[in-house]
Amino acid sequence: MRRTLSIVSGVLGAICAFAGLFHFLIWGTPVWVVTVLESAAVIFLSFFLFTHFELVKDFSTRRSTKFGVNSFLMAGIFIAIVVILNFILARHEVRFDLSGTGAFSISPQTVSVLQNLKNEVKVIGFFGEQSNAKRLAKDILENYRYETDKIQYEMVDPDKKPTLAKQYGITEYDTVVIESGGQKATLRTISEEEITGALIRISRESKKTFYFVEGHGEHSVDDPERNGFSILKESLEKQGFSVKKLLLLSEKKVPDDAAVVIIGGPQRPYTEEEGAALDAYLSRGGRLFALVDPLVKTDLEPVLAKWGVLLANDIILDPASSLGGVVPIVNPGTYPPHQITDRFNLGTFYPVTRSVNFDPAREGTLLFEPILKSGQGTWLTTQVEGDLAIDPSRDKLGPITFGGVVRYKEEPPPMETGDGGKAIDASKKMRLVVIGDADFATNSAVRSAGNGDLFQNVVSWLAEEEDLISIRSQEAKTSTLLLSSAQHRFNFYSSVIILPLAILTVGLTVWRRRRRL
Amino acid sequence: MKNILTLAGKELKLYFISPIAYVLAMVFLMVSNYLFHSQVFFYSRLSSQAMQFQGNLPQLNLHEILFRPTFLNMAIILLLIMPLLTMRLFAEEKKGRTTELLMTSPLTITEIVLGKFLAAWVIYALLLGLTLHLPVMLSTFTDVAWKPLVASYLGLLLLGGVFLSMGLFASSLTENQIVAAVISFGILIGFWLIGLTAQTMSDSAAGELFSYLSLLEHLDHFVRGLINTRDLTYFISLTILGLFLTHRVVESQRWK
Repeated sequence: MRRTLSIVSGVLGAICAFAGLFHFLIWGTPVWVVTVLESAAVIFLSFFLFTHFELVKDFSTRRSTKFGVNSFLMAGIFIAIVVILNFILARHEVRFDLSGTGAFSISPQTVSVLQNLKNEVKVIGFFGEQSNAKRLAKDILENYRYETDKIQYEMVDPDKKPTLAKQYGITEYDTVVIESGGQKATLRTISEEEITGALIRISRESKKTFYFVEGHGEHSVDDPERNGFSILKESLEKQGFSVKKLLLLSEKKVPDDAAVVIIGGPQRPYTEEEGAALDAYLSRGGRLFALVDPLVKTDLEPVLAKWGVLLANDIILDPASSLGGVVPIVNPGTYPPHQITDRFNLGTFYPVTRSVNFDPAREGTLLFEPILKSGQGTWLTTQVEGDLAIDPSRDKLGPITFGGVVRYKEEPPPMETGDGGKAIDASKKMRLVVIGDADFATNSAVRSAGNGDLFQNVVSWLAEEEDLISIRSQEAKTSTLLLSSAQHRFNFYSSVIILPLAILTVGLTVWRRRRRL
Repeated sequence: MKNILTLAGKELKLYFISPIAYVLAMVFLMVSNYLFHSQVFFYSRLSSQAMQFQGNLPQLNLHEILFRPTFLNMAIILLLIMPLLTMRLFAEEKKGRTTELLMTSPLTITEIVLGKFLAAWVIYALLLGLTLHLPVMLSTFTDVAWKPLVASYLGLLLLGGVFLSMGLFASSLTENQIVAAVISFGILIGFWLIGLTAQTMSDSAAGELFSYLSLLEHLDHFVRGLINTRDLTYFISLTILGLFLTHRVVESQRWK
């Protein structure tokens, strides 16, 4: 009787123990179920052990048990050592990059940025479960972590942690937030260049400031309506820039802390003083981004003309455009080659655009690089009043340049300009970007296609120092492999059929010869 | 050392005169070469597409698109066939009652374990070596990046160490070869599945742990051209762990 009882209790104990384990592994909660089951198991098994004590005692004094326990103990200790060793060595790695794609190395510029980090940096990547961007981001951040222990990163699925995503204002997948010393930058594009740029921005004492000129009916950064620039402002601030308004008329000059000055589609003319202030700003190495709509007289034309940019009274017509005849679309892959549009794989559209041309007379000192061109089937018309119609005898067939960058061929030394503004740091160089349309960046259009990204690219290109931009894109070597079908068949048959069969034949021969012996 | 080599030599000879290694080689080459060549076909189609759309060339990296998936596939195939290479190493001795002979020989258990492991590893390396004809074949048609290939083969060799030491351990547990093979399947597939699980739970500490435990995760670094001490530590310590456990089990036969 007692023996049966004890066996039953042993079996029950084992069942309870496994049930508890299963519950913990499969459901996890509530924890009390596990506790109850495991406690029951302990009681049953103790009873079993107690009633069978003699048997167990006999077993444990046997020589084999001693060795067995000893062996298990040794294995346990060995496993513990292996685990600890892996734990330690996983945190102190040494690596050799043989990939040839640079996927596991970072540029010297980034290394120096990382070495100069003063504060801890926390990076949170918000990615969907199976995202390619996530792997890329992980690779890049792992490279960073290899260089410095100041960076910690984690990957978060915004669907699993909606509160965290909300806290950081994440609305899209594949977004990376970089946080350090109370500053924050949110990135939508993931590359070494972007991440390092953000690191520089947020580890800087003061933020870079973008000034939007006001006072001539420009699109306002405070205007949340269709025509405002409020979305632009929001996304620039998210990236760690500071956005301010500039009333040129009362300020008289562009403030010294301006990283970029943006003229966003003025509707009324600038005064001569304002023009002079902008001109002086450019002369001392300023960075200006002018978005000038057609059909408007802004009196900026002489200022821009001084810097080689000619604006005519014209409009680009795009009969093939799916958005209407006056909305040229630039398709990905058709951007003229430039750092701004390099690796830019989104289309953009420009509601009502004028051409932007370069004065050949200024070719000696200045360099003009187009960044936006309309498509093959577009026309440039100078007949801007009344009905817009293409007249092949008068109008010019595209592609028409309507956006471009002006810079010096050879940089003159920065100079004092007499307006009281300091000459900007010699490392900064004059940059002027002119686009013949401002509507593409307003709230109604900026979220469509790649419009917002293009604007961002332009201003961040304007705002960054030279050394940052020179971070090379980590491009793998492209190599093509062209096989004729005969070559392909030869390769296929020789390695899929002939080689394996040859090996089998050798094997069978050897085996048969052995058997006969 | 000399004892290890002698024993390894004896085991190797057994491999060469039995048909199993040849059959494994044939199956392995047929399957992995087939997968490789279908990837080549895909890649050459991509190439000709890229030639037609000049100016907007997509990234065509031979190693990333062609060799990386090939090596990862190869690793899976090897995972599935390696238990068949190691299953007989100890199980056969037990079945044939030759264990006593081995135990009473002047060889230490460490030497026995290492000798058998080494023999299996040489066969594994030869098997891998046979696939070297793939990059050589391609190098007559295009530029092959050899550096990441060196890293890839190193990674596969180390991965083989894990396969074989686990297989050896499984073989030491039983006298039935089929049971030994099944046990090592179980262990290795476990390590493979852990990686798949890790992908779905990567945001947690458990996910981190699982992805660290995953064999393919570590192999992928090698295959992409990264040699780092993290992955080396992982593969080597798992191999040594397998060998150590085998050692314990074999020794336990002395007092059982």
